[in-house]
Amino acid sequence: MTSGLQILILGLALGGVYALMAIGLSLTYGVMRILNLAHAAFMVLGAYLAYWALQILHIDPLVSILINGPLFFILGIVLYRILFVPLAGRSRYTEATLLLSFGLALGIEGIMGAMWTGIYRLANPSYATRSLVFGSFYIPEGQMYATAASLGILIALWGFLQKTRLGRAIRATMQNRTAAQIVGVHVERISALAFGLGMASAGVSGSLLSFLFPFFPGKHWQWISILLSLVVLGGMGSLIGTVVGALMLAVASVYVSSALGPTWSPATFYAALFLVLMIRPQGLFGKREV
Amino acid sequence: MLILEIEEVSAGYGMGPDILSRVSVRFEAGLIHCLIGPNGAGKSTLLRVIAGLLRPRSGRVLLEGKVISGLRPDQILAHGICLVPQDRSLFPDMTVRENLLMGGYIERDQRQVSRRMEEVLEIFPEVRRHLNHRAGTLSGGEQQMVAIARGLMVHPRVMMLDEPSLGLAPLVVDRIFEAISRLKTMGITVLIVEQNVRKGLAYADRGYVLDMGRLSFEGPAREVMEDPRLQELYLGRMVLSNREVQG
Amino acid sequence: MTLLDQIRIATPHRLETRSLILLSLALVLFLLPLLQVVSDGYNYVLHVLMVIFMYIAMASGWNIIGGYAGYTSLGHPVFFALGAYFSGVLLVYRGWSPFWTAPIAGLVATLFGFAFGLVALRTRGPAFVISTIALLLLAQLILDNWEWVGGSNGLSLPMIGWPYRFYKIPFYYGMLLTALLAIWVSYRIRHSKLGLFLRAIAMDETKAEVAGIDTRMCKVIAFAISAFFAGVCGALWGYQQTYLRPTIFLTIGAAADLVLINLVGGRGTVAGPVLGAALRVGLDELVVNQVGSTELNITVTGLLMVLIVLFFPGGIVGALRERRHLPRLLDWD
Ligand SMILES: Nc1ncnc2c1ncn2[C@@H]1O[C@H](COP(=O)(O)OP(=O)(O)O)[C@@H](O)[C@H]1O
Ligand SMILES: [Mg+2]
Repeated sequence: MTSGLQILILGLALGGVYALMAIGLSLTYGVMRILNLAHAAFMVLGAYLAYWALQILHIDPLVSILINGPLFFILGIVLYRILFVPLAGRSRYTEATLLLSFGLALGIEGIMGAMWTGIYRLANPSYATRSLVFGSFYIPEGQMYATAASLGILIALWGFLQKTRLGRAIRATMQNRTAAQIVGVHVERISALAFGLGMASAGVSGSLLSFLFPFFPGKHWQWISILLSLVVLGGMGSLIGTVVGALMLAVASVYVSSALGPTWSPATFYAALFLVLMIRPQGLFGKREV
Repeated sequence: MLILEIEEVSAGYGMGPDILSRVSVRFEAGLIHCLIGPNGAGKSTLLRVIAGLLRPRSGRVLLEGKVISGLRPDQILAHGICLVPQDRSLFPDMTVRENLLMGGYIERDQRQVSRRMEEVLEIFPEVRRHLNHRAGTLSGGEQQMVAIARGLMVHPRVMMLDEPSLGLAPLVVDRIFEAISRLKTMGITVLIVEQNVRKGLAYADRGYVLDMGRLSFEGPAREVMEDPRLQELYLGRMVLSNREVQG
Repeated sequence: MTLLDQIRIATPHRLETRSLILLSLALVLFLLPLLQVVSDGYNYVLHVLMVIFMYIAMASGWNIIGGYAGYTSLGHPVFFALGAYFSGVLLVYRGWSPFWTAPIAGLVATLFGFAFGLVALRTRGPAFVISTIALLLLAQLILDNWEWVGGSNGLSLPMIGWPYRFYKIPFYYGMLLTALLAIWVSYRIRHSKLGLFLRAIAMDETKAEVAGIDTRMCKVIAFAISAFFAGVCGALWGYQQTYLRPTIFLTIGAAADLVLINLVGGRGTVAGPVLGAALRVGLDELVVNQVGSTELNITVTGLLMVLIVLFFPGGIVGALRERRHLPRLLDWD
């Protein structure tokens, strides 16, 4: 049995990474009501790219963030223009986007399976097996770098959203799409930008995933349901909520993992999801939809 | 001098019927124009068409002789036409300062935006003390002021206000209309939609009566006020609102 | 005109010569196993038809919540597994035949669907689909680790005691009856008040609520009914396979099948899922079994889904109806 403080440390460290993984989902839903079920599939794709970058080109997964980020950003903008723009103006838009992204997720899963087979992979940079010990506490070195990278990226994203003109336009579009149009925001362009950012976050999360958790093509379903659970807990479309939800559920899952065994740690997320839907369906920071 | 011309505009939503059918109106530069008409007449729809939020099915909108219908909302805004919609459409989770900054969104130069914000705050000093408050926490009257101030951020030539007095206490309504008069002194052409007919026409230079998607009649505000057709339109269809009876 | 009136007018109600043709088709299907009785060699045909019936039943059931109400569920494999394990366990531990426990398995699935729906369908919008994915993965986790029902190794079931020549026949009839029941229920719901309410919900849930419809209860009932057919099919299919394993039932791929069948055929129509199921199984037999299955199958499923959402959101029935080319034979609404 691990001590309470140790659980908290590991949980918060993990939560930082989950927050980065989920922030893009929240962003795309918040800005344009797209529920991107393929988000985690792209994340796993990012993990494969990071894995092969390490195996073949000896590029450290932490460095491959710099490749995956821009790559997935561009991919996101292209996909948004090709696949999601034609859906604009459809009645039941969100439903259409979730079916579309469901198909996309299946498509990517199949391609990854064909290219890299179904075996488990885990990138193995030198720091992946080391741990840092502080007194009676420890933290795996890889986890620490991943958390630091996640926090860095999240803070950069936060700064972008708070302090820049485009970032403000993204938040404005999230809060009131018509009002954003009224002040002259070209909402389609902002949507493409937000989708690109969401995809970029999936790509960079993939780099971190590659050495933190074993992965295979079908694994993304587990990831998407974990991430969506914490997004729902935080309140769909609330970025702060997503971060808080990630931290809370990560701590809870580390606790469950140490009490019942790691098998049951994903169940924490599902149980939390059902609990939220029972008690407060709009989530912690969500507004009740009128 | 004419500034805005609506030529035979028809418009509607989705596959639905025409809400506006072949409406033609002309607005003079520098005046306050008040659009009145019963609920559902299509007043808000007309403003939405002008702002580019809704494409007309036929007809044109011209600004100083140039066709602007068909342009995107941001392009129309760049031509100096701004809209303060019925629900004020502020960004509730942003501060008032951020709302004003968003008002200047189409200006890329942030120094210009800051300078303009100072100017706007000079014109509406009452907004200044709320700068760091979240817009969603303000009262209705304060929100309306912020919405007008936000509209001013783009140096508009035409400002359209959709029912600015909606849901406000009579004293606050007076403050809003007083602010609207300030717009006129700045040379801005104003289009107001008002349910509060008496008040709206009292401040306006010209009145326009819209009914069932058509322009029913128009004229100098005072004449419209006295016109028996107006009494008929309102008394026949709907009882005067309490506010109006008081005011 | 209210929303409900609009929908009512758009719903013609007719049944004539077309029903004769369809009834005679059903009769042929009922008599078909006689061929196998008379001369061996039709087991393959019976098997393929049985699979089609199974997909028809499940997809028609899915359509009640996923099509009429417009709430995509990826959780239906859970009801399938629930039915399979319910009847399978009773067979292994009690010796009770799934042929008569299957309807009970369906009811268990219904009950479970009702309870789950009460939680998952409280809100409007995408929280539902998220909760169904979570349900599926949670069920996987539980079955994988529950040794009493065999864990991830699964559970072997005793074979049906019939001679090889005839052993497909009871399954054939079981699935055929389930499929016919599903189509009938789907048709009845479509023409009931519940169906009207469900389609109002799909069009505009807020307006439906304002019109005084108890939207939550409608959705929950639709979900519960739709779970029934997956439960029955699971019970029969498990027995037919003679073993139960979490991975053969409980995959997102299986959920995707139901979605795709409905999308191809036309979700929200009575004939859509039937058509989609026949196509799905037919193509599978013709193409996949010739070429061999690869990792790319799932890519094809995904791409088809993307293309249909983009270009034929109404599916075959929807597209034909829009162009007014829908043959009366296929117009079951
Ligand atoms: N977004 C919309 N979608 C469909 N119909 C609308 C929409 N907005 C307004 N309408 C309809 O258009 C008509 C005129 O509305 P509006 O222009 O808001 O009238 P007014 O502002 O004069 O009260 C009403 O019948 C209303 O139901
Ligand atoms: Mg209005």
